Amino acid sequence: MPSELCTAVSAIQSPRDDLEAIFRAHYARIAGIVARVTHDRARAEDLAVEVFLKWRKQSGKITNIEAWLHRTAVRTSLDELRRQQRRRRYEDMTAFLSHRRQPTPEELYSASQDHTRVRAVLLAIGARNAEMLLLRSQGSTYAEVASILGLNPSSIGALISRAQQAFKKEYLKRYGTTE
Amino acid sequence: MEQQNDAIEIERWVDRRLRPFSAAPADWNPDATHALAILQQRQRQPRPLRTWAWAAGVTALASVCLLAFPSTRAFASRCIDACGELVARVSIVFPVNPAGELLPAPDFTLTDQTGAPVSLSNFKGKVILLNFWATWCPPCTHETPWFVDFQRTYGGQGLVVLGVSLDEDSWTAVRPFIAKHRVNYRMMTGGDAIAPLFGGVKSLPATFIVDRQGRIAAVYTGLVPKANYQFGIETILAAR
Repeated sequence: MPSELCTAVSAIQSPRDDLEAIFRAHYARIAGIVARVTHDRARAEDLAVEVFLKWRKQSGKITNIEAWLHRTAVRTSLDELRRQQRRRRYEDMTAFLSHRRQPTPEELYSASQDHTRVRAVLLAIGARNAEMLLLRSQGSTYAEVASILGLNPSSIGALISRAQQAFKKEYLKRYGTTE
Repeated sequence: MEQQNDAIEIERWVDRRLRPFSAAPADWNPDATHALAILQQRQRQPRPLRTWAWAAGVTALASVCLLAFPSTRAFASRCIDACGELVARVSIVFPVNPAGELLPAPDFTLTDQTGAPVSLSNFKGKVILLNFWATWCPPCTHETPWFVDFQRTYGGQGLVVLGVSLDEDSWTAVRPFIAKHRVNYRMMTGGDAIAPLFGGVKSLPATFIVDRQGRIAAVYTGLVPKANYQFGIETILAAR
């Protein structure tokens, strides 16, 4: 098929086709990003759908779809962690109203795990710092992190370095150990 | 030079901590087709009412007013958390008559997969979860394993799950589905005949929870989170 015709065909694709093609191209990756942060695959699948719904609502304004989806996936994951933290706080607050069960051994074990600690620290160091560290941990280069988060590429190195320092400081403050 | 070494050391330390976040979960391939069906179904749902925006605005205004003092700030923060939690978890609609009483569930008789007749009146004193569904409805089939789980978990506490299919080709479509998903509750066909009794069942899935007194205590339409069903079931089972 000549390239002009390809362009013409893609130009007359319906919004539905457009959604389906982009969804199929990016869904697995977006769900993977969310799953890595939330550690909950079922919830990650739901949240990935949320990301695409958000994109659909403002797709006219977005130029770099991949960067936007990537950024929104990381932000949505952090929002989910924040939501879980709020829920725990609420449950603790209302514990005196009900006969709340004791935490199970599994819950106690999970709380002592490093990934649970890392999540708590990520929530404490500020959204932008957490976003930068998560994007870096998922293999994005400095330039990609700057592009995804809309930051100045010339200062991204310093910003990431500060984020790493903040992360280590907060971790040691909370858990007091390096290993 | 020393500062640079420190920075490299910190970077390595942080990378070690964040390593679990860098690898995709092993042996996991999310089902894009199923997720796309959910996305398209959610796109078709009407946007939330503007009243919610007003409610959020009023709540935000009240919160801002409460920010004046540290103690009220703490109180406001807790209120917002509690409201967010409640809105997220409770999506139960209580259908009531003009006098504010729950409506009685209409009785009907259909035949289940074994050929035995099933009536709501057979289950007096039980909590009934009545699910209208169809094999061609992806959100409905998504919920089926949840209902199997509810029947297993809450059956001993007095919950009876009943499925009513609205498939036009009746048992031809439903029987293989029951076998495939190992449905452990009673399934019926011919839902079109009884749907008008339950307000016409204009969208699927539609699920009604009938309390021990035979009244419709909760209605769920569309795909709702499993936790919402659990919350409803546990609340209605606990009510005597």
